[in-house]
Amino acid sequence: MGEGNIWRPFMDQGIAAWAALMARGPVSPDLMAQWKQFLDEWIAAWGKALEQAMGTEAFAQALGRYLEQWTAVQATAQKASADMAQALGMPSRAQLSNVVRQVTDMEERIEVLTDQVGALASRIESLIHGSTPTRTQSRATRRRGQRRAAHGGKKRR
Amino acid sequence: MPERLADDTARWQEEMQRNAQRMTNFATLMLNPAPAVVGATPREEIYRKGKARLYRYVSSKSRHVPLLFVPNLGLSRPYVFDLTPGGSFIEYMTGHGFDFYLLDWGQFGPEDRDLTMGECITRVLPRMVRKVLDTSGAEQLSMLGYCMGATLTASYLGLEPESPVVSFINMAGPIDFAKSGLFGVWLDKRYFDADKVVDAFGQLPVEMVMAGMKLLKPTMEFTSRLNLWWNLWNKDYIDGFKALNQWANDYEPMPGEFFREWIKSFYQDNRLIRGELRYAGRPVRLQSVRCPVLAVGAKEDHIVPAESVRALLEVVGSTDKEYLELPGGHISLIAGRSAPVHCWPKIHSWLVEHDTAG
Repeated sequence: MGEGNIWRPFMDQGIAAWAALMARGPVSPDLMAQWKQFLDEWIAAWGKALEQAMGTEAFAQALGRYLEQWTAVQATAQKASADMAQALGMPSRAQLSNVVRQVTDMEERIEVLTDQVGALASRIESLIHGSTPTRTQSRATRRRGQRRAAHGGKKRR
Repeated sequence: MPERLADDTARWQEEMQRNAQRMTNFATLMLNPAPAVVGATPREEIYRKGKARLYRYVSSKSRHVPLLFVPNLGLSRPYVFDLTPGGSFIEYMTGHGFDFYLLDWGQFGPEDRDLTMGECITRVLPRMVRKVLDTSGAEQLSMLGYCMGATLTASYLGLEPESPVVSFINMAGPIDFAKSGLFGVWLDKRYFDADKVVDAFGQLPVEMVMAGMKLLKPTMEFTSRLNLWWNLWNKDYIDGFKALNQWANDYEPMPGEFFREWIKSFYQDNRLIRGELRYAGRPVRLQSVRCPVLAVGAKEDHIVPAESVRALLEVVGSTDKEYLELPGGHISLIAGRSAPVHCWPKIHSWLVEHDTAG
């Protein structure tokens, strides 16, 4: 199907839906129901035709071109906004994001440390009392503790 | 003949009554635009990490294995799973005794642009799993991933084969991105440059999420308005419509780095199913997933085609695996009028069958 003909199926399918409805016989008192049914079929036909048209490479290409223009405009606007913030001595959005990021990283490190201290505390406790691990210190929990410690040791991005 | 006339008259009368009711309800709808009450099932926040929250819902907890529900990150809010009293998946599951946990990834802003999929899979999900176990006192749990949440969960399970997960449900989660329908065509690397979007916007903006979703099914708006008019005489329908419509227009942005990876590694390079994903220096191998798996696809899902969901069963190492294809679309699979009939009871009975401690 050529790019110029992508609208053709709308018409064909709409006419087909109308013809199918008309072929069903005389109009019943459920005129509203018939009208609703026609609209449903009409919309379904449009939906199918649109889906076919939008599933083409030509459509994807056009969408890509549109997006490229949109992102170019956005990039220019962002640069202007960052330049203005800099001129006014205000922190840019990127700088603010970095601060948030550092706080998040700190939170993560504290959590990893808390986990490790917790794991150590339960180990010490079980050594002192010489008791067998309780349910909360079961094999699965200890395995998780080990994995946790291993994750905590990983280098952060 | 007189019988036919009487019958016709009765039907006309019924239609006239419905029309009068439509007018009344239309006026009420216009004059009372109060938002619908959503997410009403009682819950308690038990953990937070960054923007993510873990909620535990009140239930009788008669089932032994807790259930962790992992929805999509960004794009939309998770209250669709607890939409209205009587129309809530969460209410249904807690009503059947499941100790139900919901991971709410949170509402993201520009400050979250650096959040990666790797962090979600290697840091957030393992913590959530641990918190569920610590809170419930259980040794094992079941995981139910919906949409992108299922892809994240599958990646987590492929990375952590020793995780204490006894069963996994992939509900409408894409696994084979070569079968991802219209999105797959539009996001082809020849036409769609994810780097440019992320570099320009810092995140996937709400406007783009909305445009993408509306474009995917351009007749949806018209269909839903038409169906509303048709059912305007029915108050229950209006209540459900208000709630679902509110959710359907409540879009969320997606963190930039997360989006970049979601598009490039998943949609464009299909790395999950090819076994080419690596996080924290380790490979994600779906073959190493051995727990029982249920994949649930929707017949008319235009966001995640059913064949993309089904692909999970071809790659996992589980021997106990099942595929269900249910009527409906991506959302109506789990929320809306048909979900309590077609979907929820099947999820419930599969989980009960696989409740190993029960």
